Amino acid sequence: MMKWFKKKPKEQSHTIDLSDNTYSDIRELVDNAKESADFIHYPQKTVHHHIYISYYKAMIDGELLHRDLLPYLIHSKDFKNIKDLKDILPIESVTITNDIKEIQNKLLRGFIVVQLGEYDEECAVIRAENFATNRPVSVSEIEFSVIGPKEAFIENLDSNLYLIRRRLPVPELRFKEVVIGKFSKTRVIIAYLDGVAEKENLNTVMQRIKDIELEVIPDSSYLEQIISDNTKSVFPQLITTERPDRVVAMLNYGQIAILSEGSPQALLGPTGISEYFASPEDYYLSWLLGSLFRFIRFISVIFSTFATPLYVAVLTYHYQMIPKDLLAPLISSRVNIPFPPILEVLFLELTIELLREAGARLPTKVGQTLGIVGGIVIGQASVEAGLTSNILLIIVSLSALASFTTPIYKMANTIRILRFPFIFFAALWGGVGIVLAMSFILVHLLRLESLGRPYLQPIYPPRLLDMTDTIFRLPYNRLLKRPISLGTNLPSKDKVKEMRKKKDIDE
Amino acid sequence: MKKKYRLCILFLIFILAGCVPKEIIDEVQLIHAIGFDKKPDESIQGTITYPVFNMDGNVRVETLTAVSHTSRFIRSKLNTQSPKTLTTGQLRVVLFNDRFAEKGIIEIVNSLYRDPNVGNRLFLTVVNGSTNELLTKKYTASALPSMYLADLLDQNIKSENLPKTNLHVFLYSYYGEGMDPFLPIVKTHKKSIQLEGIALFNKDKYVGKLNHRQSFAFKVLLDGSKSGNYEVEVKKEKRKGHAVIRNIKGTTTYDIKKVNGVPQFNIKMKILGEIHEYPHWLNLEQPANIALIEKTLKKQLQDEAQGIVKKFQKLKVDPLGLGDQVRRREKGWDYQVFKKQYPSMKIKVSTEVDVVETGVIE
Repeated sequence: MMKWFKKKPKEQSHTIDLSDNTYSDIRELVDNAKESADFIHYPQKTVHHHIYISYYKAMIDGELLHRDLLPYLIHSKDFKNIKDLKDILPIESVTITNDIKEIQNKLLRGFIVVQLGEYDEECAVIRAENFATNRPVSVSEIEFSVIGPKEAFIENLDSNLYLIRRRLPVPELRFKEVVIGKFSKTRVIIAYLDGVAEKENLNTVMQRIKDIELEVIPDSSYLEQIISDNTKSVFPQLITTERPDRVVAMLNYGQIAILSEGSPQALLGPTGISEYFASPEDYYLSWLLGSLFRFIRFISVIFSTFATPLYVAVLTYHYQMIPKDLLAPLISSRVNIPFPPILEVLFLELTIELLREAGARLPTKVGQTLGIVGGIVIGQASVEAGLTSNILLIIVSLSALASFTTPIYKMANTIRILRFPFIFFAALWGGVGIVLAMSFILVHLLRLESLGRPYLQPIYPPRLLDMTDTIFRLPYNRLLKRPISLGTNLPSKDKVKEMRKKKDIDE
Repeated sequence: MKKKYRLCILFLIFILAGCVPKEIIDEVQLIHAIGFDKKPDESIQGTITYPVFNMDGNVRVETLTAVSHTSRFIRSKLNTQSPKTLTTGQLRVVLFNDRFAEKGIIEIVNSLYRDPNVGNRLFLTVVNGSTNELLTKKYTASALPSMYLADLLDQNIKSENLPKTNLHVFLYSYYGEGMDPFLPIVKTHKKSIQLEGIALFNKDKYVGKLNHRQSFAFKVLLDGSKSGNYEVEVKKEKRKGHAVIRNIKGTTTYDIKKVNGVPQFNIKMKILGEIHEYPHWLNLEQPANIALIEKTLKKQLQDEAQGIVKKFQKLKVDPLGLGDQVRRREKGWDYQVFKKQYPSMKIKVSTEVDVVETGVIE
């Protein structure tokens, strides 16, 4: 019985293990590399020798080759032995080696290899990477804020590291490098503040990152999904951010950042659920405004998740609870609609999802017109055609709007999806169904962990001192320097008192 | 394997649990008001009104009538005339005609409060005349007589002389020892509905009523109040006129003494009021004139209150809950003994009036 549930045995993969496929000698390496069109391997006459220069054309900085390399190679009279290159060339990174593995790796990363003979074992490996094709650091678009820094990470790891290091010029800022990906050889940096970040968290991250077995890592989102504690959850367990200021603030809190080569997004963890609704602007505005806007964001998340399920539940099962003044607009808007509330809601919700998805796939300018066409024309037309009630149209568009307020894009997507199970439960069992679905979600959230730390903290397990920066953000003299839920030591009562004292500016 | 079974069961729960009855709002008929009339042959005539909403937002009222012996069967008979299922979830007002109320209303009230769809804030009302006529008449004030009546009662509770009343209050005083329920009483008046006063009940039987003027004193006596208007006749040096006092805060304290096993009541009413309207020849800038109005009001209100208490004793009803006042202060209180003593009890009402405002004149 239930054979259909049983998993089929995994098929063995037949891909070649490229990562360990180093060539045995230089001849084989050069011959194989020549198969690629962008590999250059040519003889060059110098004062004393015929040398061979080889490189991948696209990977190196041509100007550096012509200006800083070739003149010295060709005209230098001191160039007698390959080891002399170290002294002749005005480049700091020149290595003389016959380690075939190292040569191969560096060649592929934009180094130039110089040999005395065509297949000479001893090579000089000179650094000449090409940085010109990098996109400049630009304005953050996904997590936009009006006040505060606008810089966003780019696809180049080193400039991302620069953006962080520039804001934290202390030796305690550590970047641990791990290279993962059988084919892609992606550099992954685990950044943390030594002495602030908890060792346990760091070990968890290091161990999980090192265990990754992927061939190619196109983006840090791959890492996020693989190292997440619960991969079946709809909730993101690590914050994905493109803002260096956010990363720096969180590093200071004791979180750990993960950056990967080629990805303009950093991962932050361990996180609690409330952090996904915190925008950097909450901290840049005065605490009253910041708290208020954050509170509005929480309300809008609740509204966005529960508005349409409540509509379904009330109109299908609980007509008793409608206030008498609301009866007339509700009923008269539904008089001509042939569907039960659940179909009506699904129709409109799916339309909105469709618009969003189409808008996200299209170029910005087309996307805007699409939004207008979809929002106004389809909405109005479906009300006039008697497919949906106009009250529902208002509710659905408001809840769509509300779901956009979440600053972290991945969380916004979760909120977007979350309402559908609620709608189905509401259609099945009304208000009881909503409570039931809420219980499922709560149990799931209670069990969820982010890098081994509870996801719901500081709400559960309650950490009262951390609450100062959860639903509200209190002024900075009331805030703890860093949350205790991340494993940092609990401050003494005296210290808390001291912290709350208003420091006189005139002193 | 066990997990798979569990998943299967969960799945079955989902597909087999579609048995919760649906009551989609536009597919049921929402009864707004029910009226009960006693026919000469002792059968009950039930009249319901329900709103019909049009797409343009306009509302039309529809009424249905059926005759039977029980309220539930009336509803069943009404369903035979209705295009959609009749539901009581939005019921706002239940009306009893005076002849019906004299015979007792508890059977219907009982059936109402056991219906989970019916809210506790439902209004019960006695109608002086036919409920059928009241519910089928066209009114200019509102398209729906039911909403008109419900709003009217609500409004009068908030700002006028009607004490708080609804299904819950009725049941509380019906089942509570040492008190009797009361309900508002209304009648049709040309093109409007008019609140006549308060219908007094002995248990569930309608036995007498207070008019609008008397209900002012009743409301203050009952639970204190912060609303209501009272008109007094002022006399000064052969000149006569009328003044209206608005109640700002009325409080009542009950003093109970027991003499030979019989409780004696000393009820103190205190009213902070505002003079709303007064005869033009009376100069309110003179404190003596304000004192005159205070004195007159004190006298008249005292007579009024004393009068309604006498009336309660004569009718053997206790809507003020005097029995309950004794019960609160006494151990081993016996309701039956109290009932016997009630008509001959000494109950004294004294009033105190303080005019604190006279409007913008100074």
